[in-house]
Amino acid sequence: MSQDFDVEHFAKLARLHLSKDEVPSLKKEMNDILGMVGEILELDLDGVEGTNFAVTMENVIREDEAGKSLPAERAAATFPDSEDNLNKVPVILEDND
Amino acid sequence: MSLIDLKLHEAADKLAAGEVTSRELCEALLSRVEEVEEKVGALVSINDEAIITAADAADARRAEGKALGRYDGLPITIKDNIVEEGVEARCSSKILDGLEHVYDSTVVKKLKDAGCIIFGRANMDEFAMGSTTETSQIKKTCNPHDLTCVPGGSSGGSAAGVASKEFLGALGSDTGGSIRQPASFCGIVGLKPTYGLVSRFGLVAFASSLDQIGPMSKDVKDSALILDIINGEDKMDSTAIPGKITDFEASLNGADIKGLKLGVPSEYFDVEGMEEDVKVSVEAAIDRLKELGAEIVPVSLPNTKYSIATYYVIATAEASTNLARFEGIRYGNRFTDTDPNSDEPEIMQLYNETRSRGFGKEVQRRIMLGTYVLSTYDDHKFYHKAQQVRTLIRQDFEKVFETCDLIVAPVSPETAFKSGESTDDPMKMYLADILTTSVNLAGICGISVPCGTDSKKMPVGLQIIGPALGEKKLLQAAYAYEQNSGLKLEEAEL
Amino acid sequence: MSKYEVIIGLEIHVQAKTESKVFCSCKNSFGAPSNSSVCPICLGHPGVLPVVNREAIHQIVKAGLMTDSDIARYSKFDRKSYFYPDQPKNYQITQFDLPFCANGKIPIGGKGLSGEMIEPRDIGMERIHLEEDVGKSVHYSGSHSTVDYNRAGVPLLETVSMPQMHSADEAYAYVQSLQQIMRFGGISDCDQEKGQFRCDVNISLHKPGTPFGTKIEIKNLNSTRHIWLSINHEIERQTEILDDLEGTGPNGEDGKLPDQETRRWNDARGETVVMRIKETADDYRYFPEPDLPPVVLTDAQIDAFKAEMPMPPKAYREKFVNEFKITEYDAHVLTLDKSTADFFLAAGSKVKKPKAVANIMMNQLNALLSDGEKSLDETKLEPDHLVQMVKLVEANKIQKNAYAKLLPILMEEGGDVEKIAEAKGMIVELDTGALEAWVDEAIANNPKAVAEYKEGKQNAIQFLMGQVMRASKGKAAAPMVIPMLKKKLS
Repeated sequence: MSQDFDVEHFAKLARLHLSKDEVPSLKKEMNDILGMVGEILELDLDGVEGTNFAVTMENVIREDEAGKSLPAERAAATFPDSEDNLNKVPVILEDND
Repeated sequence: MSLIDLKLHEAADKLAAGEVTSRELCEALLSRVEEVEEKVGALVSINDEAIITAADAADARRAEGKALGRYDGLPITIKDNIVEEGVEARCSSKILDGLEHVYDSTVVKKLKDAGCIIFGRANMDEFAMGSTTETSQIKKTCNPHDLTCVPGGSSGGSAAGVASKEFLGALGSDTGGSIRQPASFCGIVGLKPTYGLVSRFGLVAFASSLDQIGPMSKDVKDSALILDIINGEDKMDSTAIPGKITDFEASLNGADIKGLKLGVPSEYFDVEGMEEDVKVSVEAAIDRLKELGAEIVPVSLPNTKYSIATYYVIATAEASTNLARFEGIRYGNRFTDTDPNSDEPEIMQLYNETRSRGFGKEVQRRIMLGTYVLSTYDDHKFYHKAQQVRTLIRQDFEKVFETCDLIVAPVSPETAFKSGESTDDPMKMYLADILTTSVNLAGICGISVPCGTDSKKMPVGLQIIGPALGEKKLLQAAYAYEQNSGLKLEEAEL
Repeated sequence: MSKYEVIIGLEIHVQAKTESKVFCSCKNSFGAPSNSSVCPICLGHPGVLPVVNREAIHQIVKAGLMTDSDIARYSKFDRKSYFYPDQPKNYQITQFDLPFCANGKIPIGGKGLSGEMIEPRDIGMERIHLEEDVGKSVHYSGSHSTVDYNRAGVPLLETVSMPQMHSADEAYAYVQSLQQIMRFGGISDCDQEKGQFRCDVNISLHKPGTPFGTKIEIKNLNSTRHIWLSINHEIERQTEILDDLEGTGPNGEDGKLPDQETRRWNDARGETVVMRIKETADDYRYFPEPDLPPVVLTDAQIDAFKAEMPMPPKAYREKFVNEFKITEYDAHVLTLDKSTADFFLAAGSKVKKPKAVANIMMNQLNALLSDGEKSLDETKLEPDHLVQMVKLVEANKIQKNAYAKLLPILMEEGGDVEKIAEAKGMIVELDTGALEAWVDEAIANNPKAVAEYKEGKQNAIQFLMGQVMRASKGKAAAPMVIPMLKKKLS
């Protein structure tokens, strides 16, 4: 496995903040791990069907019946910050016009 | 004999006979916790008051002749990744601080419906990612047999607490060996049921296609008893197997292994790092099984060598999505001290800060690996390959179970080691899962039963593996061995 | 005609009608108080699991059948990862490679919003897949945002068209046609104000015979008018950029290709603007949802769905054109909504010339409805009323001019058409004696018109006819009046 693990890219994609001095050691660890898991890439598995599901069941479906919801106040109480039972978060989208 | 020495099934008998009350049981255990918890560190939280209240209610029901059944009043501990309403389930992480859950997991509901008392929450590796319980962000758990050693993991708190007699039995969860390996390290019994036998609703997901909740107990009968309570279909879990089994414990009566065909896979003995003591103990156990009438058959599970790679690709892929929901937006810890001079918008900083400070390093490593294997970077080739190898591993077992009833093997190549030995080397930690992950990948069942000790007096576990829904035969074999092993296993001294 | 060919594809999210959400049992309702229709599952709490709703599957299969799609015998769900605060799990349960429906067709026709006729044809629809909606966020610029999760987990059908439309009018017709199908099928009301129908537009321009141009996405369009306006604006904007590139634009030769970007419609400014997203997630890391076993549909199940499938608008139109002998355009207008189409179907089936019913519906009735800002359902008018009216005209008992008088009464009160016509004195007088008297009276009172007619002015006879009708208070049998006038004046 010669590919170098792009720590910064995947940290960003996974929403993790890395300090500058973490990067080299993490890169080495990830490269080691990739080297280990990389052994399966060498296998010739043409025609082997992948296992998508851990169960052999199909069509596990519920009937369309409305049940109980949480009281809005209870739901809002789980939010770190709320406003009129709405979840209050830092501004997501700024208009640029 | 003190009440803390009781097995769950003995306690149930005594409760039924009126020889003991649930309150007496709970009080005895609470004083044991008081006495040894500081040394062992098995529990992340315990609410004495709620326990006594629930015990009194159980006693009152029984006094009125309205006991909910055999299990009414039995205290059982749950791992910190199992959700209970009104209580925090932090998964031994810092990221979930402050979320009092608004629902009961199905297993907690089943325990409560049976009258069981939730006796505290057990420490674990953070989000079940680890095999020493050292990635816990909350506390350190020590192996009761040697406090300088790890209890194994990720269900290390559950295992250590049973071994230290802080509780009578516990629920753990097993994604790649997290019940069986700590059970083996702490000298107790741990069962990983067939995928789907126990509902996962309310188990904080690590790897959805591998996770299973299972019992951890002092003996095989207790594991059967717990499994009787917690198994069964669940309309909240699409992957729960239909039906409900109620006689795992009862079916142990007169369990006999005469004529049972037990496969011994050579690949499980030739792994790197296999300690001689482990090998010797397990081989002795196999000899004993033979003496008891089982037929021993050499078998092969040729794809075992790929199980670690396959497991880490699939488990981290699923985990990277399962853990995406922890970012400080809807619940839990939100780290908002953002840098106004940063190029990153505030909300992005919130995500990044919350996740980097809320998750420990091992969790972050696995999230990154999972993100990588799912990314379009390499056209999903890692993930697809792993799914294919998973098929091969499953087929390996299917083939063996065509001729064998069960498989016997070690649980782990090693016994409990000193704390701090593996934390700096993730690779060492990952490779130690070689003998347990295949069972999860194949979705079948496995149990760890004590089968001796090594030269340092640390416990060794015998792993018995059964086909999907083969729990009855598995438990019967484990029980027959346990009852006739001829071993005198020493209890942990604290 | 522009020298560039426009290529348009539409991705439209349609909320399906169900009692409960797609993966939990919270009510699928609009307008409930903030976060009152939420539970641990749709809030993405730790430990929860999804279970798929039968009706959501039924709705998407129905949508597939009504659009001539192939229905998958084996379908599965996948996780699509991206971080966004309105997305409770930071992954969406959707479908990646095995959607329920593929290779559908959406027929377009009628008039575009520009008023131009659209060449009727089918636009390909690549797929329809089932997924969960996200919460609704509101942004307070520079301050904060809020999120309401009532909408999170509402079943969404994502329809993806082939890039086969070439103008804003065609896109408009596609949207209209898709909405009709969803409404006819009872799949969705497609109420845009309630966010039940949301559209993303992909648009690029290129010179015919050259590779496709840069694809620009216009996101979150929730009104048909905005879709049309934004496409026209983009065509204009991109044409200018391409002209510049060629050196034929007003800004000379230092142009460049349009940036690949996501834009949105700013209605106040009447133009599309670049949408600043915090981060464009270009790597969704799809993989099979391990919490949901696959869905397998048998031929028998699909046949059963087919048997109970409501008639799609296209089937109505074909019946109207082929059996009721009305024009394509009239058929298009009469199938704009289901109640009108059903009304015409019911009435048209009971008369010899359905065209007569179509004419009433498209003229007098349509005018009355739009004047009163009412829909057909809100009146007491029944298909049988029109049947009776047409039959009375065919029997020469009333005249066509009675329609405008009868309809308001029937819409308001209903009732028996003939009795109302009698009571209101609309029954035609068939007695030739009475007719002769009215004709004689008109001739006697209008010597000037009579003289003009005799001089050869054919129009004069129309005037005289009007006088006869007036004298008879509308009861004179119109077809008999002119022959009698001509006879008397010859």
